[in-house]
Amino acid sequence: MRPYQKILFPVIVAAQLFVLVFMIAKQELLLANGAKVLLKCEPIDPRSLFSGDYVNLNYEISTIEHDIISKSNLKDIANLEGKDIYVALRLRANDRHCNIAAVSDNLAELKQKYSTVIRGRVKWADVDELRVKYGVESYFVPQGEGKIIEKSLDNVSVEVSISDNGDSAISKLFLDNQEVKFY
Amino acid sequence: MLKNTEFIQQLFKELKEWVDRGIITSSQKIKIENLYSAPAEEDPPKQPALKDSAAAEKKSDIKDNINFARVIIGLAVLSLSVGIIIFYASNWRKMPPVFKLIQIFFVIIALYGGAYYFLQAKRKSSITDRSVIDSSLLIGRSLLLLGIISYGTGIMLVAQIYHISSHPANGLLAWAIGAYAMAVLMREKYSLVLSMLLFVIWDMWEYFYFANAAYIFGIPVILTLWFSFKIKEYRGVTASSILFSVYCLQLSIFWINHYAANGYVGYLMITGFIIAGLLMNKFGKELRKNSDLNNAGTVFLITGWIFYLIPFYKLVNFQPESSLSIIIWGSAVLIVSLLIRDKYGCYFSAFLFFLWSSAILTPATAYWYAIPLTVLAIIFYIEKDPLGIMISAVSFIYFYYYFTIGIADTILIGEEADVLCMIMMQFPLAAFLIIYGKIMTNHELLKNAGRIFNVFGWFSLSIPFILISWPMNMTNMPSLINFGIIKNCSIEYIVLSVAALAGLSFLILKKRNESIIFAAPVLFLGLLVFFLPFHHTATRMITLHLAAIGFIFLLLFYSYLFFEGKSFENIFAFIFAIGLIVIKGAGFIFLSYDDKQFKLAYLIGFILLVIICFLINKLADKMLSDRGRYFPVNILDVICAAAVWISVYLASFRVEAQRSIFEAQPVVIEMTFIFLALSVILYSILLKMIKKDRIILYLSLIIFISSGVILLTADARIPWEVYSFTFNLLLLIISAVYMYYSSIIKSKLLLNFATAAIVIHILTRYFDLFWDMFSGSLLFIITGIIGLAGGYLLEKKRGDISKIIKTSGEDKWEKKI
Repeated sequence: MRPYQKILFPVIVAAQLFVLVFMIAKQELLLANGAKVLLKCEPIDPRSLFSGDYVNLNYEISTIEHDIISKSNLKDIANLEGKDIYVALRLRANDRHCNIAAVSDNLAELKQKYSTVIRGRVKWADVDELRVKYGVESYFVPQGEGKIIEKSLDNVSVEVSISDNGDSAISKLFLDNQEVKFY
Repeated sequence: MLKNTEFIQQLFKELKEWVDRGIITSSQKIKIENLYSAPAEEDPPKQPALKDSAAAEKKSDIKDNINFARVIIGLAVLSLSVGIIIFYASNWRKMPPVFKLIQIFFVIIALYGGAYYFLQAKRKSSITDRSVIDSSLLIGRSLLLLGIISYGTGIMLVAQIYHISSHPANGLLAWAIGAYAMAVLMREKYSLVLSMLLFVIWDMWEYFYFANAAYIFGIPVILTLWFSFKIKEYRGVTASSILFSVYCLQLSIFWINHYAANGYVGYLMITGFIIAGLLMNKFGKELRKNSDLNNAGTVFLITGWIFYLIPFYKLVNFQPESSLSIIIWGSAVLIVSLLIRDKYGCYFSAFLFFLWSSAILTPATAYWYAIPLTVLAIIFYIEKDPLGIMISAVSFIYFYYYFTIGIADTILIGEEADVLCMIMMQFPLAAFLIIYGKIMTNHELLKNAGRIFNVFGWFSLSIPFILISWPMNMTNMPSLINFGIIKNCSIEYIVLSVAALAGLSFLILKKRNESIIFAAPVLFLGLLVFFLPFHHTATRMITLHLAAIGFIFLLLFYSYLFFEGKSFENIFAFIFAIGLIVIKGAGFIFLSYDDKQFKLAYLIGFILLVIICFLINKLADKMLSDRGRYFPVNILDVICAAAVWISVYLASFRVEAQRSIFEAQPVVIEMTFIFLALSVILYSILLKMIKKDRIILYLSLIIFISSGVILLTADARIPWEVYSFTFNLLLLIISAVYMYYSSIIKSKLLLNFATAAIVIHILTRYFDLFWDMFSGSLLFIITGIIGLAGGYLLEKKRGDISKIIKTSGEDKWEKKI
């Protein structure tokens, strides 16, 4: 090894470890400090949700309906695909779950009215409807154990932790109001 | 550095001696050994062939040690890495996340630490045994690779534990970057390949799945290109060149999709692409000068070309309303091609301008096409590029057809006159093209362009013969000489004719007799047409038919007299003659069914025309053979035979009462007599010239006389049976004549044709007569029996003649065909 290699080798190893630490820290901070909301899952098409070692989750808030869009400041709806939007959440009446209160492309604007705002990316856009992904759509499970969730997706809810700037992470998964742990 | 193992072994032996003799010290010896052992472990020596392996074993213990170690370690690395991946990916069921994370951190640190330890062995001078150094280096590199893999596994694990799914490609990118940094730092080839693979997967993922530009991909690609070049790893250079091209192209398409717009943005982008293409092209050409970098150079060259072509991708994004974007594109390609003296680029720009021209619809802008055409022609001439000059020649002809004729369309009033004008214009155009084609053919550089002019000239000449040699109504097109409404056409006609005349004068001055003989008649016809009242049907028909016959003779005779089957004229002579027979035949047959009262007249008219062609063919053959020239007489013989047979066959059916030819339009009568007179003249000439083997002349005379008689005597009072009988008889005679004649001219083709002809003839008549007499089944049974017997006899006869043909020497004609 040359001298510079002797120095840089540990530096690169450290950097790689830092990447891992950063990822962990970011998620842990989010889970620790973020606002907790409960989201209701919905069955999705195609039916094969369980692919390999994770379950695809689809939420009620994954679909934004026309009446919400029409009240928002969003323009040129059909061209929103691939763009980030912000969705304000509020508790449903007589329920622990949250649903959509408002939608906007501006975080600050929503923050003035609502406390919990989640950021999502538009996957599919139509004039009447938006399909959004929030980054909490995959739940990793040990191999073969995803079937349980898949079978009873009507009764699955997910607790999501949301930071001030709209980042989100899955904190808990509930099956029939009971938390599921895979370890 | 030399990697020849035998040399190294020899060197090591020598080194010992050098130390013994005191030439070098033992530490110097170790240094040299280290120097030569390094490349050996990077590039494993080739296994000796099986039969040599025993000898090789004795020769070098060191090598075997290394190889054995390599195999074991290689397998171990493989199974370990597979194990690590499976172990982590299966998300160990019963382990709490914290424990999992600690474990992965531990594994990463342990692997990298091990790698660090073993890789230092190389520089430790205390270790002198080369095999030990090699082994430890190998272990170090393996651990390094495993460390890199475990890093990626760690990223995946964290993502799993925290259910991160927002943008999974980011994790891959983090892995790729870490792996790349480590691989580059440690000069680790396999790790580098692994990390580049990760970058490629990441790039694909981002680009195709998430529809992002993936700009970052360029950085590792360019760096790898540079590093590979630095350490002279040329396969790496080629591979990274390919990746670089892919990167450039994916960016281009991304930009077009996202940013291309009408107007200046589009123009700037096109220009940008062309400049990028220029740079790639230039760079590729430079690289190709070095044999090691040849492959990489080719990659860049191809990429450059793809850049030239890339505006095709969604050209509509650039400028849908006008064709300005194609102009900019074409000009940019032309300019950069001139800068790097790339002739293929010039061809491509010529193509782009062609594309542009086809997008232009208004006459106002049409003429502008002449500018790029001329510029390109001049460039090709200066560059002395024959292919380019040919392209220019074709483009100019295209320009003339597409624009000046197209514009004549829009200037003229009346729907037919403009088309007719366009057809008329072919006469001077043909003269112009043929004459200047002939002039250019003698010029070394313009030779091929000249040939193209010549070919197009002859085909232009054919157009009016095909299209207006019919008794159609052309009265709404005035004579060219009168100017009037078609003034522009007349002027154009004069300009072309004068230019052609000037060219002809040049040919005369240079005494190029062969060229003059072909060119002068064309120009003469053109001038004649200018003064003749072509809207007058009889004038037009007579002129064109006589001219056609004249040209058939001219082309057949002179092309074989001068060129002996080596020029375009030789081929064109037959194209023209056969084309005329086929087109006229189709026309006459159509007319014969259209105008049933003159059915026989039309069919016989065609027979007369074919007989004249046949006689001209015979005349040319006779004149050429007298001069000792070869002439493929059989081609037209067989065509004429077939044409005559078909018309006689069509005439042999039941017809309506025919009207006398003298009741027809005057033009028909005039034409008939001219044809008859012409045939008589040709017969008398031929009978005078040919003393031997007149038989075929006499046989054709039978057809000529009998059909001539019918033509002149046809009348409503004559019952159809007379015609039918005559033509049926004639048909049988003809078939028999062909059978006989095929043995004379030794043509199997004619023989087969005659056989088929007789079969068709007999079958037709048989069904005609007997259809009503028998019930259907009986008819077919009898037909079958007769058919079998007839077929047997015919085949026997045919076989006999066939034998005669075979035994009587070579069948020249067949060979030619």
